[in-house]
Amino acid sequence: MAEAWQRQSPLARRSPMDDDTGAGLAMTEREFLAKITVRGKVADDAIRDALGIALPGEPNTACSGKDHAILWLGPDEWLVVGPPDTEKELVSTLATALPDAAVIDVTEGYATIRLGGPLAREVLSMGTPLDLHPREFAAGAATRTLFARTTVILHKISDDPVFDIHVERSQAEYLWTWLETASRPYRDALR
Amino acid sequence: MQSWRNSTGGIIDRSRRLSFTFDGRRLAGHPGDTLASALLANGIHLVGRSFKYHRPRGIVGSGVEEPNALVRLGEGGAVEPNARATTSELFDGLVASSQNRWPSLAFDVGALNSVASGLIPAGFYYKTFMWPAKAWTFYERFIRRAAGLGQAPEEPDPDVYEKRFAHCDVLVVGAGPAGLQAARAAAPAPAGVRAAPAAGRSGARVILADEQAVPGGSLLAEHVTLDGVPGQDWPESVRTELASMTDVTLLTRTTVAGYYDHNFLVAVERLTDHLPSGESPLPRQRLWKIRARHVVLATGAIERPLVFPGNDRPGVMLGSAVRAFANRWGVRCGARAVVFANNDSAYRSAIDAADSGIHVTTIVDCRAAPRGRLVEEAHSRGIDVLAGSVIAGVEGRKRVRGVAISTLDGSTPAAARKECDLVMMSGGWNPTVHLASQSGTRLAWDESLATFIPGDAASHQTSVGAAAGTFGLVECLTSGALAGTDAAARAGFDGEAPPVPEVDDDTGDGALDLEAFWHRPASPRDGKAFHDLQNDVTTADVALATRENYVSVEHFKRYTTTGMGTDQGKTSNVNGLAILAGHVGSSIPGVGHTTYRPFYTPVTIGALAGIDTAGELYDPVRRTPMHAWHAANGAHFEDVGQWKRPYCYLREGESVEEAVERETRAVRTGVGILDASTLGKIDVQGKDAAAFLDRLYTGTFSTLAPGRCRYGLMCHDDGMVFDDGVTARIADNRFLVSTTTGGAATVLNWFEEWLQTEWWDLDVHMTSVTTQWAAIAVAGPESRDLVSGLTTTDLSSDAFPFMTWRDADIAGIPGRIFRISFSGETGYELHVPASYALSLWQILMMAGERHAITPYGTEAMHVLRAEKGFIIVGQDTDGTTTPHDLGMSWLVSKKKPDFLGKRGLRRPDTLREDRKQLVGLLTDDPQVVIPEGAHVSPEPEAKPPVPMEGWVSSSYMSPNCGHSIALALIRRGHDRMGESVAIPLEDRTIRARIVKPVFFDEEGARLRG
Repeated sequence: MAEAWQRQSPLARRSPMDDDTGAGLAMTEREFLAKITVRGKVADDAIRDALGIALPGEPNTACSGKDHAILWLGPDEWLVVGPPDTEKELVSTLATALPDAAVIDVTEGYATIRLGGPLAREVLSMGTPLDLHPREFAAGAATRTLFARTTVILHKISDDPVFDIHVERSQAEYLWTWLETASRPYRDALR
Repeated sequence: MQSWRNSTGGIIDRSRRLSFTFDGRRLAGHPGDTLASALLANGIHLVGRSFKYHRPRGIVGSGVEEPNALVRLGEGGAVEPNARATTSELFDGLVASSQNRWPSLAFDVGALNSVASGLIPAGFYYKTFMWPAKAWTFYERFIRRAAGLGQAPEEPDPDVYEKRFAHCDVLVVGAGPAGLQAARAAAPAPAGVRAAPAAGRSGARVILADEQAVPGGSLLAEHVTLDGVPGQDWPESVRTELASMTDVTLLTRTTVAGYYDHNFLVAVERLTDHLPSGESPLPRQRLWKIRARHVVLATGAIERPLVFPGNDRPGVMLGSAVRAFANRWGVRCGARAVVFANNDSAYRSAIDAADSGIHVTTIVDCRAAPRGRLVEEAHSRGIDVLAGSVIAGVEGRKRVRGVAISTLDGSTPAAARKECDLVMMSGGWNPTVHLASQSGTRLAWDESLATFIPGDAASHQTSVGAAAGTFGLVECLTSGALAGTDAAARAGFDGEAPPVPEVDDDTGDGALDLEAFWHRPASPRDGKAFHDLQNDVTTADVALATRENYVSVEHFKRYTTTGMGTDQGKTSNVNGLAILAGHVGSSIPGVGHTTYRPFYTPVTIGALAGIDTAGELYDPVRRTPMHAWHAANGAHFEDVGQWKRPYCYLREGESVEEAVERETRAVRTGVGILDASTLGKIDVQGKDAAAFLDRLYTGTFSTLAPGRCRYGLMCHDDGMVFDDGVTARIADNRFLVSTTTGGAATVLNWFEEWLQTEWWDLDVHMTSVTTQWAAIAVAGPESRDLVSGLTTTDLSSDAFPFMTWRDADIAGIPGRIFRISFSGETGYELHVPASYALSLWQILMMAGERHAITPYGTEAMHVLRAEKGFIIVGQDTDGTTTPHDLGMSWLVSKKKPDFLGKRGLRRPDTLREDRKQLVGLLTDDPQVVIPEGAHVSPEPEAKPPVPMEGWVSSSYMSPNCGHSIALALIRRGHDRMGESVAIPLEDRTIRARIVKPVFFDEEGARLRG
């Protein structure tokens, strides 16, 4: 079996950004989250039995449980996010539960950046034309959208606010640098 | 010495002194000043030279309309040309200089243009520099030097800019009395201020944007009281009220500059332009991209100048500007003033000017019988009113010295001469309809105001206040509040209008009682009368344009350049149209107006670019998991789409060519590894996956057994090859399709398009797994030896033949091994989850030490594949190449009922025998490498036009063959083996022989061994 030391997350070479003042922005990589794409026909009951959470039926929403979140990405497409190092079990659980769907492990294909703090919404509004006002994009909202010059899956975890941004692995450093650069003047202003 | 500053009045902070320089001269002003008000306080009117004639010019307006006072701000890379002095806030240390003059503002050599002005009328450039045609490049150098006002900075811009998106229910543009009331009405009520909002009402989101540093608009320049509060203080109380509300954003120093479809507006917020550099870490400017449900345009109005000879002399100003300088900045613009008027608002300016200490001697009014309270008030201040009169000429060059007055009909020319150093002109008001017009709202002609006002709104939009032609303060406050309530209601929020403040009664109803006066034909002796000050366009130019039949308004604009300056004709357009209408004998609405276009005021390129300007953020850089290793080990990267791929790895002292040669040899003699992670990978699964792929590829995949791989070509419906790659069958219902690096996204979209639009009945799902799996190609005679040391999988050719794949444990990492090869050598492609790839790469490098393992880049890969005659789609094909042209007919199924491209391949054109076909070329001189892209001709000595028969698509020096090799697409090439051809170049002709496109190991023994 592979050793943990052999594994390098997409943003392993970037240092997390803390929000020391509580008024700024915190940014960290969420390493090795299990991420599974599910495409096809999915029965709500089957998902509920398998993961204990409902299948989001509304576009651009997510359902979250203790360990898992399911993000609606299209009429026949969802992203299931689970704890680190669970992708193998998750794939087999889902494949068994959903015989009519394609279950594809994309854990390694995406990096996840967690963005939080009072500046988070402002910084995100520099990259996406989406309306991120809590009235329009509340906790539990999730969408795949353009961000700066790449595509991300944006998931609002809580109204604090906390966002998870899943980005295609090869562009993770681009996105990290972009967020760092866009927020720099405001972080500097808090110093 | 600010000798023109009054000791009281205005909203400036006299307790603090700001120091600035203008053309190197050290001057002082106060917080609250603009550069213009500070210059005027110091008695400086002459601030620039005009665009074409280099005439001395002074400050005309007090705000965004200013056509003349364009200055250069700052130094070095942060310099800003053509900044309006009237909108540039003063700060300590501001450096400003005048433009378009040499050697100095007071003595300008360019003013010779003015002497020769008869020779350079409108259209001069078009007429004069048309012949001889070739001489244009000669003329151009001089014209470019003479043209324009400011100079663009030559150093990189050191500032940071930002862009952001915003959404709101109501966007109010302009924070004058109407706009402030609209924002109050639209905003949710804060507890205790107004009636509590209805239950459940979450409140409309409101953005209020104003271009000035503080809200207030016209109130800042007037003497009125609202609810007993001075008009100059009332806006601040509203700002406080609005600031207490959630979801209300008040943006000052923010110009809404563009209004596009579906209520999408662009605004520029100037965050630090008013601060000394380095004082704030914030970006210099912020571009707002706003989507609004409803827009309230409370953009105010701009006073119209009058057109008369000498109206461009420093000291001739808009009446409203003189009033604003007096009331807002406590500055007297002159000692002795004459007013030129055609409406009542001029009297308000005259009265306030007189009250500020300017000796206003005369009001020259072209109306026959001006009457009313304002006229009486002027009289009571001892101001003479000359009715039915006009200013016929201006004395003075660098400053007004006096004016000549005649009767309107010209019957008594030069009836009087008045000495003055200030002329206040007031020709009525033009509502600021720019944004409304940009949005598609048609403009309507208002006869009583003699100007255009917004017609029926083209989108969810309301124009209010002066922007709608409403000039009474009470009416502005009332209609603004109504518009705000209405806008919120349309966005789904009920609310009640805020109370309209009690206004003291000396403001009147705003009626102008205007009689249009456009200009009076004058003889050239009287001097030039300018209707467009910024572009130096005179009434004579309009006459000339008319004589030459440039009478369509769009032609007129371009021929005379009316309104084409950086001010977009804010003060000149309506006057220009009126004069044109007079010449062509039409009404002004009959002539029409030109299109108002974004931006309302110039927007810096920096703001439009934001942070996505340079380096890393210009375009996303895609990196493989092994990128850091490549970079640390001499990789010379090339861009492949957005990916960075090692082109080769440079060793100490090695050239790129040497490195490529070394890597190419190493793969044929030992073992090499290549980072192949960038190749596109698509997981295709579902009951119909095999049938689906059969339709997409020219070959057949339904017959492929799980565990095996097959190369395939994909064609568009026209039969032309557009991508290729190896597809592996993972399971009965599951395939892994590989694509070219650059084609990955296109291919996935192509798949989805067919599935979603035509073959939606198929049970298939695609997912990109390009970055899920990293891939390392291990190639070379020693590759088996190397890989077998890392896995328990039997790699012998019997157990693991060419074009098969296996799940495998590789150095402890669960992955897949594919026995495929793009080099023609025995080779394995190792796929592992991306996060393990760097580790595996390093393990291979260590384990390969005894094999002298060589990491190789894309160029060695290209040479190796060309030695084998393997094509690269996009290099050896160009969108007009069929599989047959490539000699790959064996890849086109004859059995399948249909596939994309099948019909295309049966078109007469694709069946032609003289199509360009892929062949090899061997040069007569084995050391000569043909340039890629070179054309191939059958006749070495042909004279132009040389018949061309095809072109060279790939060409390299092959170290393994010991000679150069090339691939080419040549007409009827497959039938011409052995024929000699010529490749004519600029300085020589290369001769070559057509051969089969395989140069190395033709039988493929190494590949399968």
